[in-house]
Amino acid sequence: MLTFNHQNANGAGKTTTIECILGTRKADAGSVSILGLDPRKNRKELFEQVGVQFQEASYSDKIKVWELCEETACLYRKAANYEELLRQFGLWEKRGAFVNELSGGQKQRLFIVLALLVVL
Amino acid sequence: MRLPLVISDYRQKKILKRYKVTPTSPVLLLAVQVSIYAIYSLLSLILVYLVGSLFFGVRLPGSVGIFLASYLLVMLSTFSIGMMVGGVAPNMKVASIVASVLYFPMLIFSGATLPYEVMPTALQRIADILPLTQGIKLLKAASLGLSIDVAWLPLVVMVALIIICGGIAVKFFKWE
Repeated sequence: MLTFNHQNANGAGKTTTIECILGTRKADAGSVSILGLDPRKNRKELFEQVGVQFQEASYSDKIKVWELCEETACLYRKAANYEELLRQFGLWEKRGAFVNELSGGQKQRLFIVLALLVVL
Repeated sequence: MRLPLVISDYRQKKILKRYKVTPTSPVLLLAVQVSIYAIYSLLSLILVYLVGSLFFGVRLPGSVGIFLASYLLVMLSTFSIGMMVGGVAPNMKVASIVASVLYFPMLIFSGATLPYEVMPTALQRIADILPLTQGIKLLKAASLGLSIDVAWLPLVVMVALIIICGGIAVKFFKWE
């Protein structure tokens, strides 16, 4: 497994760079290719294989942990077993809780779980 | 009216930004909202019909099938206006203002509240431009069993609206 660590001072453009790579932001110049695919042109195909966890946690008001997992899992042709992942990340007991009731750290762990649904 | 609010709320909460990096398409997101509100709409249709026929003796001489098809068409074209707003409005506040501006005049002048027949001719001409007015004419024709020659213009307006507004919603869909 390969890990990249992208560091820089505040405001240098770390988040902007990642968002340009993901296609959520339009780059002023240059081109991007992930797994041989263009994130803007081949979005649907690319994101069957790539999971993303953003800085900000985004979810509907009254959604529960297991509901958010189900809702995210059904977007993919094939998704990992979210129950396994919840157990792995120590969130199994919180599966029936509302997402907005989780602590900051628990929310981040939940969103890691959601990003890992692509990994089969 | 609620349809654009939900999607623009998602947009504001960055939920759509998260969806952008999944295989989801705008068509799916919009179709889900349309389906939910379609169910509400059909349930209220059944309720109104039951109350009307049981307590007020309302009878619809036209064919049930044609009426339901017309209802579906008018419903989808009204929803398409909402989808268009929902597809581009940056947040719930803007969505609700634009949706109100588009829907309320239609509710008042289309004949949904004030009957079209009692309006002065000048007002009727203005009302004719509004899509909902045409929709109501279509429903009246269907419920009374009138022939297609009366209903062709409303039919065309409804279909055109679905294509145009639906097209705008999908083509100009904003994830953020």
